Amino acid sequence: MRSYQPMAHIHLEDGSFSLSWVIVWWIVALLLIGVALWSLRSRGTKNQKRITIAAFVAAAAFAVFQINIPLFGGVHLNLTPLIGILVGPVLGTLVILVINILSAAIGHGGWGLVGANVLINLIEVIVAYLIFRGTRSIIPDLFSRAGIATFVGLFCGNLVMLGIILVSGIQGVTQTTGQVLTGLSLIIAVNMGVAVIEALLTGLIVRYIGKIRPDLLGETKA
Amino acid sequence: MTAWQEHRGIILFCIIAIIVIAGALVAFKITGPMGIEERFHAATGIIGDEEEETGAGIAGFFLEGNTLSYILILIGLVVVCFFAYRQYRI
Repeated sequence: MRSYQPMAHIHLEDGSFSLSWVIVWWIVALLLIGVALWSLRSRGTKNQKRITIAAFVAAAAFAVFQINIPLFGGVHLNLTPLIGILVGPVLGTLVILVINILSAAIGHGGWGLVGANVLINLIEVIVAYLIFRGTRSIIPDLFSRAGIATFVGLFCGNLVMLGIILVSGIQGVTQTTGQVLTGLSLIIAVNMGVAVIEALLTGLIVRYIGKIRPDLLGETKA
Repeated sequence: MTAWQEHRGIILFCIIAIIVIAGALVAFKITGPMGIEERFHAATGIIGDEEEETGAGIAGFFLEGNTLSYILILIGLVVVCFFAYRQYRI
């Protein structure tokens, strides 16, 4: 099995984390999914069109997620910041869960790591959403705002990935924490290089949507 | 609105992009010309699987995981999109 770790997504084999840590990350992820479901239920169905958008971004993200790009040795895009920008953190949580489960189902990442990967991707979704919404008055331009939100979101996701790996530890290796930290920091730096592509792509998509349907972004027409 | 206020978004985006690309190139130079997989193995101390399948691809692009499952799931998701659009529109 491959053990890729492109973008902020842990692609380790099952068994890399101890069972107790696998369970811990699954429980945390399930709690957050529960909060998202509760929030969705309590808000009712007034935003039904978001369900369609969520389905579209889930399909697009799943499709892109599996394509290995021959850059820096092999990476893939996530589209998680785009998910955050278009559907927000609540529906985004469910989209992330679906994508990670389907990815594991086709052999892209271990089942045991789905919980940890949901957390990582969820941070990307939430941070990108908050940056995109929170900087509206400072950065009115959709392209750059979405791009910056993507950079920050993916960077935070990478940091969470680093934290999860350091906290969990990897079974059967002799590297010290310092060595793992150094190595993973370099990987994050490389990952962020690829984030430029994702930021450009997200910026272009958001700008296009902003031109034809600004209401989908919560933006008012100028 | 001044030129700075008008363009600060794209200026900031470009500054971040330049810093990020520079950092990535430096990191890539430090780790050497190895794939992300090998780099990750080196970082974590995992011993890589020598018998990894590379998969068929086009110009270096290839699919992760099982291709048939990928296609079937993608078709399923497209069908879900179709029904979601019919039901809720956008």
